[in-house]
Amino acid sequence: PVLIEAMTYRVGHHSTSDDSSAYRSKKEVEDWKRHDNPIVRMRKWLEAKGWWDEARETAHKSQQRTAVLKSFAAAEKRKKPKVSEMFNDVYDKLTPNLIEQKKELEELIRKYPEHYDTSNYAKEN
Amino acid sequence: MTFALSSSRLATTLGLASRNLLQQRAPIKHLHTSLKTHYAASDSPPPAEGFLPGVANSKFIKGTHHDALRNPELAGVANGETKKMNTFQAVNDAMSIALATDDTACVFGEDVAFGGVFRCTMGLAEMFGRDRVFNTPLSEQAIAGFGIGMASMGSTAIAEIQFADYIFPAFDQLVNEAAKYRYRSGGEFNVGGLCIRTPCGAVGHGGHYHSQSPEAYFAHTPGLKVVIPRGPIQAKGLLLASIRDRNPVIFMEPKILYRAAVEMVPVGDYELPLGKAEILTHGKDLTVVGWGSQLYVLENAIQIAQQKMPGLSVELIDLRSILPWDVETVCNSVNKTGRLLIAHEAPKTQGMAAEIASTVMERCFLRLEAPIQRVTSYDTPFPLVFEKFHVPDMIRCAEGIERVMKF
Repeated sequence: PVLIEAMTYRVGHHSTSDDSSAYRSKKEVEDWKRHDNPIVRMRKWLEAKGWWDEARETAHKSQQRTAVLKSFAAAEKRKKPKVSEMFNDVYDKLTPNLIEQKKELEELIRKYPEHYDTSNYAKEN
Repeated sequence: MTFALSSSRLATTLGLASRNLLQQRAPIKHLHTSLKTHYAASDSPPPAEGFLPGVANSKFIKGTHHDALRNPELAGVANGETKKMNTFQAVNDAMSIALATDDTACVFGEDVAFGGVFRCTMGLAEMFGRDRVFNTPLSEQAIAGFGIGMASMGSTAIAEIQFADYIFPAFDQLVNEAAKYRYRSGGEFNVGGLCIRTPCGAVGHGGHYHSQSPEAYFAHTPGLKVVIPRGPIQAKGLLLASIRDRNPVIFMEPKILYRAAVEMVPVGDYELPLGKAEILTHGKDLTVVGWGSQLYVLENAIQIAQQKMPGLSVELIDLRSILPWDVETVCNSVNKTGRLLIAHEAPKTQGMAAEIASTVMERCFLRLEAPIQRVTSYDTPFPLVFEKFHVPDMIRCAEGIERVMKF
């Protein structure tokens, strides 16, 4: 058995709400990107072996981008789960308070359809 | 923890590009649809502190110098200057004053040194030094424990828990150590210098772990105090009072108000009283109690209800302190109106409204004209895609008002 502990550097920001230049220099990030990028190292190794080249790189990048964007677009079109799902899986079965609250919400949605727009959610069956 | 993606593009680099959105004004036809407009129009993910465009139009926001200083509680700084500040700037100002006036004060938490994820600690390390404003390891238990240790030695510890959702690893420290420190030592020792600040509340996209309002868990712990401000002026005064109060205080800041609430805040050193509620509007037909960002929802709900019931006169109370809470002000009000509605973002069962309702029932039973209404989130973990159905929005609050008035 072999254990590989792979140390790496986080190039991206912590999250979409983070601008990491607030706590580390942009130069530091650029240096890591250029000098110690494991993906780039792998690519250069493959190229040295003759198993990869610029043309394949370009084509592969383009293909993958298309595939991901297509998947993204399809996912975005899908409806969100039906609203009643909000009460499921708190427990294995709905408890009395949840049954009551679910009914209350159903009536509210019925009474104020303009305010509680469920068009992006799957239909209740 | 990462936020869920909500855009149709792959997440790119600067999250801060999305802050530009906050400069745009969505047409405020309906509070609920303006949020949709923002998200639909944006190419970037929403900022961490979300949007709440209605707050800017609120009567409770003191947008002018004179409006702000008309408050009798600010008598001490009535002749001083005010400065335009949002909530994170007001919190920052309070900590700056605390650090300047108390040599033993330190500010610490995750990522506070560079300014904090909500900018509450901007400039403090530069001004007061990294031995007084510093980062901690990623361990809430340690943050609380360290704060308790510091405070037990007589220093002022201003600890930050980055999101209230993360406070639970610190729960044992807060409940079993901080809360009991004075009591178990017969008053020989205490951690009065401890103040824990933490962003709380719904933000539009926070999901399970960036939206919680955990005040009820701490309200159940004798020995702690719990405070929740509704805006910049309140935040600064209540935070200074909380830091200086001789008891461990948990100060919960509704994160959606960090940028959304902007007021003319007195630049001087002032405190607002703990344990005292504030009556925002006087009325005679109904008492409505809330705190934090929920007050702006209630303001809208009251307007909706007044369209349906013209002449309805509502007394709206900001509780401000959750523990100890101002029983006298609330009961005096209910004895006047005979009807009570309480709203909070935390779930219904065992929420703070239950405590308020029980106490009011005990003291005002014969005066009550209708059962006390609680309008709260449903009893589920805080959902992501169902947020707008989960929280006590202005429609549900208005419905609650109608129910209590027509009983």
